[in-house]
Amino acid sequence: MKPLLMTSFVPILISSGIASNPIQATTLYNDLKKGSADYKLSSSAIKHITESKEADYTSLLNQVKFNKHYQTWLKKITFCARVDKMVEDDDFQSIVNMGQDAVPFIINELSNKPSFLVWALNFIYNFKISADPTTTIEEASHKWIKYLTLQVNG
Amino acid sequence: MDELEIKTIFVLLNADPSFSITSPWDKKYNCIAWALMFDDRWIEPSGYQLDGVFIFWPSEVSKSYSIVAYRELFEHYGYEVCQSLLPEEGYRKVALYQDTDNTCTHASRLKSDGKWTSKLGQNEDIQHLNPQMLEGKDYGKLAYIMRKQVDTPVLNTSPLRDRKSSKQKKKKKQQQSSKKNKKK
Repeated sequence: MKPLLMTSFVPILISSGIASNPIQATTLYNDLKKGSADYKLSSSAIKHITESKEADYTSLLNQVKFNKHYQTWLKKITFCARVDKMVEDDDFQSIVNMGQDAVPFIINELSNKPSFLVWALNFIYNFKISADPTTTIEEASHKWIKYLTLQVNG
Repeated sequence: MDELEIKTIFVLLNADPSFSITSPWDKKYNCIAWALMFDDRWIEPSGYQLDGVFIFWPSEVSKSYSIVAYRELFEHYGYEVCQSLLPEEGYRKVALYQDTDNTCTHASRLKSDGKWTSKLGQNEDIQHLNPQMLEGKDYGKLAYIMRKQVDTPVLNTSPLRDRKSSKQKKKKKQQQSSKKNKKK
């Protein structure tokens, strides 16, 4: 098991802290930020850290990373009329570079609202789901969800 | 996006009494296509092959995002550079915008009623008083006014609207005839 840095615990501590006590979570976060040595972890946070597996941390950190890049990208492309600017954008490329780790979050977003995020799947898998130029973003999103669900379920 | 959000970005629209959202967001076309009266493609020279959009650029036009290449694009479709923003009998007009690095950022089109229409990125189509209303941080400055001679007077409805309404008429006719057949 790889050692986890203290800074990696910050989002985990916040999430577990919020579940138990939102005020305490803020205090914990501030203590960690200040580098204070005498902070106290809540019992639920300790339980969460000791019982959780590395995969849980990785997934949570991936989600935080994905959300950050996705929200920033969305803001930047609001009035953008150029596909090249949208797909060559640093935040979009960061999502693409996450590879398979980003796929569950992409599928989740597309299920809620089909969008240009579907292009990230074109880059990750290096193919188009439809050769028909009249396919809409909505149709392409649904096709990708269906295809990837079939892949997972065999 | 609602009108308030759009006005926050394009602040000059706050002083535009004719500003309104004219059609909901549609991801199938961009502002350049809208100015050229296409509603089924993204017109840009990127060459990317991506799902859900038909990206198109005429092979005869220079593959560049420069304002000069976009002027060339509109010339390809029969437009010529002109000076006046005012409506002229027998002409359709467009306005091209450029950034500080001379790349084309946006295009808007003069409508038959004398107001201007723009597609805002992947978002809504809006109408505005004049092209200057969209100048600013996002679309930069007005670069060219261009015009194209059209057979029908400029005050007629646009072919794009005609095409849409003729489709709707066809649908209605089909529905009516199928109802009649059912009755028989």
